[in-house]
Amino acid sequence: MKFAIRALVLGMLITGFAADHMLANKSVATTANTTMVASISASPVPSCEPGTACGLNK
Amino acid sequence: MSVWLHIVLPVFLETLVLSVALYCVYRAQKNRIYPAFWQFLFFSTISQAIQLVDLSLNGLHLLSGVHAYYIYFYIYWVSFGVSAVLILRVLHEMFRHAVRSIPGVQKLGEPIFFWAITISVILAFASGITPHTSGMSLLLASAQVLMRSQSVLALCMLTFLAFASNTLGVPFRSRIFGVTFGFGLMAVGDLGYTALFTYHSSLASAANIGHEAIYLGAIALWSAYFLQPEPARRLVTMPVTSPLMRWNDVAQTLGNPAGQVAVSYPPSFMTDVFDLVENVMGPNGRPQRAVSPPGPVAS
Repeated sequence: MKFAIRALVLGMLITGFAADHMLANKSVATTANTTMVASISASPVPSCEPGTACGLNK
Repeated sequence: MSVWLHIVLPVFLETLVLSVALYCVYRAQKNRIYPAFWQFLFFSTISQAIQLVDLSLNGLHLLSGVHAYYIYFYIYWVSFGVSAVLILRVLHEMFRHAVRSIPGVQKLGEPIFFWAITISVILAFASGITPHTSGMSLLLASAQVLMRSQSVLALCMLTFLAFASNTLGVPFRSRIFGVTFGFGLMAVGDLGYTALFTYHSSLASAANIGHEAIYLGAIALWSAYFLQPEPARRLVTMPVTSPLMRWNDVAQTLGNPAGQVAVSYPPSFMTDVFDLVENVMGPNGRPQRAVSPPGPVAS
């Protein structure tokens, strides 16, 4: 049981760091473009900003 | 399923599950023992409830889509940033409880943990400031960096607890581990979903549904941990020669104002020589006039 939990935690750690690494590369590549930075964030409505014709207006 | 329902359903489920978790913590009377965790749950429930009301008003055609989305956008992102700060506080709280059995390490670790959190918050806001910063871009960039900081910290904290549980006397069924595990799950969900988002940017995508399921699972896990009685904390025993005990002793003495000792130059041979030369030469550096012994009296 203890071994299984530790293995699970290690798996979570590796997955998390791999995703963070991917995210860091994306962020560096798109720093100049605010819209792109917003789009890779965990927004429930992607690439939408107030006043644009997306999201609830679809 | 419509876009509206894709947004409303997760918000409704999160509000419901968060309310249950809030009730479970209150029922276990742990809101005073874990105040930061209680505040996080309370804030999350309120912000989700406001989002739900906003979306419901839009669904009932009492609020236009543009206005509803304006409100939703700002509430979502502000609460996202505030939640990240609150999670950092909860992790600090869990760390304090976890290392309670080693008071020296706790005393030394607390300021380190506090400054790690403070610096990550400052860096998050600093990274959002660019030459063309607007309020919205600062909000988005800061919230994103804050989320990443707290996710990485949550995963590190979870790994520390998982591997040091024996030493710290924190069993896996303890609420300290349960709460941290929940935040670890959320961290993996946030990081994984955000990384995958560029490839599957649909509300109906499997990534989005999986992300929501992980969130709901983490909150449900907290409810389960607070519903069942917590096992008593194990007594920590370790050999006297253990390095951890030595670190603990050293950390306990650090910063304690001890008694003061007068420090002076120890008497040495050279000091005696200097004194002798000074006596002979005098303050001007010239030989003092020797007092001639009284001679024989001429008769």
